[in-house]
Formats: sequence, C-alpha cells, structure tokens
Amino acid sequence: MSGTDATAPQEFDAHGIGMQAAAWIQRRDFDHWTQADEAALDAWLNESPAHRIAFVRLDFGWQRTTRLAALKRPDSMADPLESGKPLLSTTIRAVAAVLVAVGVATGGYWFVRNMGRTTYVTPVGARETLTLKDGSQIELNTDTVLQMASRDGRREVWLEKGEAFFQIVHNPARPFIVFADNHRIVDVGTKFVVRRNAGKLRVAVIEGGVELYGSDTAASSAAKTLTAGDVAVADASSISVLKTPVRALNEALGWRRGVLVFHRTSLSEAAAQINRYGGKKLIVADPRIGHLMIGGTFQISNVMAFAEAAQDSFGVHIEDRGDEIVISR
Amino acid sequence: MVEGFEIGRMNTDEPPSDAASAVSRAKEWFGREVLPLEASLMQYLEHNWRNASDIADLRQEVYIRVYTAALKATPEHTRQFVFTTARNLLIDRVRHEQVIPIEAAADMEALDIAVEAPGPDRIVGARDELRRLQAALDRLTPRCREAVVLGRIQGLSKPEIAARMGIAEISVGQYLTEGIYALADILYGEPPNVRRRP
Repeated sequence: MSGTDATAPQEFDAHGIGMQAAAWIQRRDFDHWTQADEAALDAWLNESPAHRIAFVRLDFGWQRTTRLAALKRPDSMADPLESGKPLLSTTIRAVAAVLVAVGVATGGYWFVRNMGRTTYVTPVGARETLTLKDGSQIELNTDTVLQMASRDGRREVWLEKGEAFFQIVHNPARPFIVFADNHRIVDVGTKFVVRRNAGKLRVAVIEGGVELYGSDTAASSAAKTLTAGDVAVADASSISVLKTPVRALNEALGWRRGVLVFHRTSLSEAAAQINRYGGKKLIVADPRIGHLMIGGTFQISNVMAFAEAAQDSFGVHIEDRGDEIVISR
Repeated sequence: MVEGFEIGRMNTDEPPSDAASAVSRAKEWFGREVLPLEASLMQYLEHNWRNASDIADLRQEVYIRVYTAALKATPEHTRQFVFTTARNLLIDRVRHEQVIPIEAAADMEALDIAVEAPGPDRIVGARDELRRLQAALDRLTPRCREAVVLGRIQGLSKPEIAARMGIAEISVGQYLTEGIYALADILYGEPPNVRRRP
C-alpha cells in the first residue's frame, strides 16, 4: 500500500490537496466556467483517488450550506420573483447555460445549483407560507426544499424535495413553472399540490388547471393537461392520471391547517404519514394490525391522540417510550 | 434540455450498470454514511496516533480505501468497515515505519477499541442541522464568513461580493476557497460544540 515510497508525502498531503479541491469548487460555483475548465477538473479528479475524495468531501459540506438560506425567515426576504433587479445577470445566465450542458455530459446535477436562486427549506415538522407580491402563495410542507428564480419574465420554482401547495395568480405574460423530478408543471391559473417521494412525482390539481410535461424531449411535446380533481403520478418513464373527488384532495391538504385527515386509511399508512412530521415516532410493531382501517381528523402535533384513538377503536396496546410510541396487539 | 432540470440523477430503481453509476453510488454512500462518522474517526485516529500532523493524511487515506472499496460494492456495515479500515491502516503504518515511533507502538493495544459505541455522529434532525450550519458559519473568520454569506446565501456574484466588501475579486475567491475548506472541517471533522483550534 502507499505511504512507504518516496512520493507518498506528496500524495497524501491532505491539506494541500484539500485547498486545491476547494479552489476548484470555488471556481466552479463563482467563476465563468467553461467546458475546458470542466475537462481540466475531470483530469485533476482522475489523477488520484486522493484528489477525488478531497473534492467529494468538501463538496458535500459545501452543498449542505444550501440549507443555510432557511435560517433567514422567508418574510424578511425580498420576494425573489418580484424584485426589480433581475436575479440572474446576463453573464451568470450564460454561465448557467454552459454548466447545464456540461452537467449533462458528466452527470453532475449540482452544477446548476445556487445560480441566482433563492432556496427555502422547511425542517421536519415545520411548514412555511411564502407570499409573492402578486398575491400568489406557496406553502411548504414538512422537510421540503424549494428554490425560486425569475428569468426571462418567467417565474420558476424547483421542488427539490418534499411537498408544496401552490395557489397561483395566473399571468399569461409571466408563466409560472414548477420543475420537479425532471418534469415541468406549467400553471394555467390554479391551485395545485406537488409532492416528490421515493422517485415518484405526484401532482394534484384542486382548482383550475396545469400542464404537465414529461422528462424526455420526445414525450415532452405532448403535454398532459390536468384539471380540478386530476391526480397525476409520474416517474422517469410514465405518467398516470386518476380522477379524485376534489373534497378528498382538500382533505389531503389538511397539513396546511396542521391536521391530517384519514378516511379508511390503514394504520400503517396513517403512521407513515404522521411520521413525516417528525414528532413522536409511531411504530406499528405487528403487521397484523397494520391493515386495520382508521378514519378521523388528527392534529399533526398530537401523535399521542392518534395512538389513543387507535387504542380506543381497536383495543390495541400502546406504549409511550418518549421518542416513540409503539402500537402492538 | 431545459435549464433547471435535475440532470444525471440516478434512477435508483435501475441496477447500476456502468462505471459512472458506480461512482455516483459510491459518492452518495460516502456523503450519507461515511462523512457523518468523521468526528469519531478523527478522535479514533488522534487517540491512536500521537503524531498530530499525520492525522489529516491518515484520514485521507482511510477515505481513499473505503471509497475505492465502495466503487466495487457498497459495504453493508459502514461504521464497522470504516473503523476496521482505519485500524488496518494504522497497523500497516506502524509496520512500515523503519523506526517505530515509541508513542505509536505503546498504543498498539488500544487499536482494538470497540467500534460499536455510538458516537456523536448520529444523524441529526433538520433543526439540529440548521443550528449546526449556523454555528459552523459563525466559526469562520469574519471576512471569510462575509464572502460565504454574500455568495452562498444572498446569491451574489463574485464582482458583486467584491464591490460589497471593497476588495479585489481575487481576494473574494481566496476567502470563498478558505470557507469551502473550513466548512467541511467544522461540519464533519469536529464533534458538535467542541472547538479543536481555538
């Protein structure tokens, strides 16, 4: 193994390599970045595993800082979609375009991050409402990451993670577009909710309509128009649309009021939904009771009340262990 | 291609088929499971290797070994794998040194410390994460912090940061580079609430 020959001290000068890696990241994120730069970075990364690992380590730490934006209260922020000054200067926009092209080539999806976008993050258990100057509102559910930018007169939002409810004042001159999981959702005057979970994208329209564009260019020519009551579930290769009563969709939006509404929902599914919000963790210890159907409206903040309702309805045993509540027979 | 699409994200339903997916799988594993162990790993190395100036290089080599292994197959028990790798590395180093440093040799038995003990590297919740990020930011030097806040949180460009801070763009680049380097050390290398370099 290395570490014994003459070149070893050079090879494992972790500090020197780390500073080089940091300089690469800094240039990538803040300088005019060309394909030649990308090729040079690739060459450097391939020179030695020490280079690659130093770069990967620093980049992970650096990417975590996108969450720092959440430390600022959204209401203290300038509305990024409505500020007079364009968020992306022409230069940066040009750089962004280059980076996208490069990103395709290398599979590095983080390249387009942070290019004049504002990031909003809700921690587990939190929710947040962003109000734009035209009265449009975006509500972020638990554990959600969303970025916004204004570009060429278009209002653009990226749902990176989690779930958001959109209530958008339609403006034909300023299209409102949500990007999520390689799909595009274009508002045509509407209320809708978008959720990303486990590789699937779910779009439900409560009022008005949206157009949903698929990921690959061939399919994207044919947009799917979704109207009130439509629930589209999309993955990388397919989109399916189901008609659902709007009443049920509104109930599913109970989180906006801090409640979850269940109708003949299995105990295990209900527990999974409650656990998204990071309170006491519900554990259904016995698969035989996981299929029991439960209904009702429950405060997200009061997990114990849910467990007690299950106890009262089914005679199951509940045990409060502090951080978690175990439901068993 | 529309700008803003997430590009090159792996579809995790598909089996990894080529070198590129092995790299992104290994990177993802490394970020998710190995980096959170860094504070524990550093403590382990510091405890078992007296020459403090070697620690960063030893950590680097542990990372290279586990990352290289993960390119072939993702290890199942990350914590055990990382610490076994560290232990083997230290043993290799001691054996290969022409003159064994007395302090290092004296501690050879200590290399068998248990690795199952839970460390301070448990996955933190989102609130903890935000607190930790804020604390990390506060630990940067003032100019460094200013450059990072303007560039990373306010999303300003380098010329804009330079104008705001009243310094040359090249200095902005240096502050940002230092910030990127220091943040990883603060976020991963040190146990929360412990200051290693006062």
